[in-house]
Amino acid sequence: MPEPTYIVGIDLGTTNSVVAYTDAKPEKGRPPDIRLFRAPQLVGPGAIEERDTLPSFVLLPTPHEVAEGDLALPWDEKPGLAVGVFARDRGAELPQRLVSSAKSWLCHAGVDRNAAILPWGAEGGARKLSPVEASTAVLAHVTAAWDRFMAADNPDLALKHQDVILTVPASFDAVARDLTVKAATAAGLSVTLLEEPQAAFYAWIAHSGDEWRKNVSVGDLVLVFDVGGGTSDFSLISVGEEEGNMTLSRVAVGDHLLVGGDNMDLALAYDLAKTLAQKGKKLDGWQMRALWLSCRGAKEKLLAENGPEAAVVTILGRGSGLIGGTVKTDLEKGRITGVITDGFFPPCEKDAEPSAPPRSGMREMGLSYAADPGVTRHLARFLRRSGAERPLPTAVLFNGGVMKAAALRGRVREVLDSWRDGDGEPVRELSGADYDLSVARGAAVYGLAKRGGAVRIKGGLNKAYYIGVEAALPAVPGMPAPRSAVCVAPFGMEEGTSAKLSGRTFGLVVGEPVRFEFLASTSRHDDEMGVTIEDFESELTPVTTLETELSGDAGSVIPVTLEVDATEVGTLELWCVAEDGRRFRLSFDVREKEDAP
Amino acid sequence: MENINRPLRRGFWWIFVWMGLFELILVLAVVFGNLKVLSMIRTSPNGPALIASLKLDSWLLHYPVYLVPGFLAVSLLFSFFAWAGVKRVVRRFLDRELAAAPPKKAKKGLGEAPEDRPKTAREIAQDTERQSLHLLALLQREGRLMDFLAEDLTLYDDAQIGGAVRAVHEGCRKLLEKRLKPVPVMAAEEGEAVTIEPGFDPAAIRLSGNVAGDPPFKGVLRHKGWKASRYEMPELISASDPRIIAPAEVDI
Repeated sequence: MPEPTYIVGIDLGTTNSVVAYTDAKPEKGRPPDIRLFRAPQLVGPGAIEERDTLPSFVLLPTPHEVAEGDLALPWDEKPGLAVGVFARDRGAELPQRLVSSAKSWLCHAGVDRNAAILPWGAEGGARKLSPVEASTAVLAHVTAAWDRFMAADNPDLALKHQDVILTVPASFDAVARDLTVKAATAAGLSVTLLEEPQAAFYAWIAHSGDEWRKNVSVGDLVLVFDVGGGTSDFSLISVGEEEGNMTLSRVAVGDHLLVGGDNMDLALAYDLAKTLAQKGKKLDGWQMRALWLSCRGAKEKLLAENGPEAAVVTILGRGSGLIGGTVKTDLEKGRITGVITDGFFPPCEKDAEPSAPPRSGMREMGLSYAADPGVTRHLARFLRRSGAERPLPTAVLFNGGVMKAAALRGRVREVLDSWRDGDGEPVRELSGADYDLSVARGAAVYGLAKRGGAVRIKGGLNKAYYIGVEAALPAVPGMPAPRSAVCVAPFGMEEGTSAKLSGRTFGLVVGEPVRFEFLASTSRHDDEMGVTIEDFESELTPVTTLETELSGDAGSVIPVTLEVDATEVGTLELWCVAEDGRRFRLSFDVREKEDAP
Repeated sequence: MENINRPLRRGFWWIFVWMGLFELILVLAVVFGNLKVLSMIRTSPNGPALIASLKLDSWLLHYPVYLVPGFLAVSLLFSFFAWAGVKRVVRRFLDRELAAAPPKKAKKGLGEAPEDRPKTAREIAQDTERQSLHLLALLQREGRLMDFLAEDLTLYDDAQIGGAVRAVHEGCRKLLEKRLKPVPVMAAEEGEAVTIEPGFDPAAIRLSGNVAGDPPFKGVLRHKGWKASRYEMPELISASDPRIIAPAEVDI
């Protein structure tokens, strides 16, 4: 295999994907030159163009909906599906054919993630993809486009030969990471995973050049506050010192939060539509989408620094009744402040708790959107549960398209400062971020740092993982055997290391499927390997079950010990090791689970 | 920039081969020259005695042969220096080029058909039609211009029209800015006195009034003119009817 020429960072986003790359062997002493790969994609029927971002939407139209020839790409005459701008725009009119937010489905334990279930709720004999296949489709588009435009004359430059860093939300658990790697493998890529907030921080380091050491100091605790199109993600990075050198470590990550910019635009659109309805103007689905788009534009304009006080939102009449059907309304700053700033970033107490989802007996499956849209309340809980007692963050780095709005950044800083009760300095904002593209850029920077030289963020596992075991107690009729959880992979376990669970032997029956309950916690940072937690139901969240089948004489029981590898790629592997050295991989069960969170 | 190394290495061998050839010719020339000198001495009266006493034949004929490997070694050394110099220059140049533009040299046309078969006359005509109608299709998609132009304005009052025009204007303007980025042909303010220098482009600047003699001309700018400062259109590889400006929309 040829040596990689480029390091390629792919930000596989919930709504938008970005690809950045840099030379694998940069000249010494020069700041790394990180370029964007502008992905060619369908932007209209039969029209292809390069864009900075590739919307992560997959459209699976029938020939009646989009003519087959209109899906053609320079590298594929009949792809049968579309990825990108056209998929997003045309898909809005064909919701039954559109796969969106495939990434969020990857970490949804309530469904079988290898089964063809997307587009969710599509009826009839509609063509469907599994969450893994949908992610593969986006990555395969990137790969084919790259190979066509970067490696047309030199096969050594093909994407599969490059050093590819793929970013995932910090909150992705071991199963979702495993599935992401599977999706990349299916697209022909071998990748290394990186958490998105870390990538944003690397991008900030690269952007500030050597200055970054002046902008943070030892003892700083940096909050990375990333609100993208569909998800919100928090991480804490602490700045320390080791032998006179500045060190960075990622000390806490938040839970997966399905609330983002799209929810905000939609909330604004519904709020406006309500006002219009009171005036007697009803909007149909098509006009609603137009309103949604105009609201996005107006939001960015009004929330910018020194933005205007009001913007006019116009929705043209459909069809040739353009003038007669036009609906026009004013969008004042006050409304945006009410709906978005106060609705999604409300001022709240340090000990605020996000409101729990209403428990109704019948809950529709589908993505579990955050029940409480108050991002700041989620932030309060994240900081409270981020492990050891820690002071509040001293600096904050914003990322994600939503945070382009200066007013929202200001609000988050205000809320953080209000929790300080007047102690200490106000929180600093680390400036110079590129809110849309920095994750992909940062991934490329990380690729360089990994090759040596530059500073690296110490991360390790983003959760502590446990397996559920039954206690060896005499059975009491009518009572379930008491169970306890044993820590098999501590928080912060470093990539490329492995550990043994010594002192515990499990007797496994050969020839029968063996199952372990697999649990995780984002808040228990101090549990070491082998620590046992009794009564864990309230402490740990179930992730999935682990299963394996031992080969050999059926029916015999063999003693095994557990071994855990945190791989260089960023995934977690669990093995049962027999005394004679045979190893059996415990695989994650990604099938539907009834008691999914 | 691994892909540049191979041609550079090949360049080294070319330099070496030509240098070697040149030096071989040099050695041959020396040997032939010496032969000539020797025969001249031999024909002179006490030539043979001189040759024998000074061992001139060995000096002039046999020893130069030993120079060949030496010359080769020297040519190897010099071609290496020459190559190193060339390599440096090429790398510098490439670096500057690459810094200016990302390495998309390998790029093929976006819209190139996967198999490069020649297009028929009918297809070429269709492509031209598609390209020219596509701008109108884009203006319709982004700014509803076609719908607006097709409206009967007598049915509405000015306020109603004004509301719709704002949206049409915004959409079309955004599209033009992005695709063509029109800029004025002349930078001066309209109404200002301007001088038209010799060698101006009559297609870009239209003169009117009493034009006599040769430039420079003095005049007043009446219209700044417009010029598309870029041309960025999506590549079209569709095979569908090029005359569709906007498809009919039907809710099922």
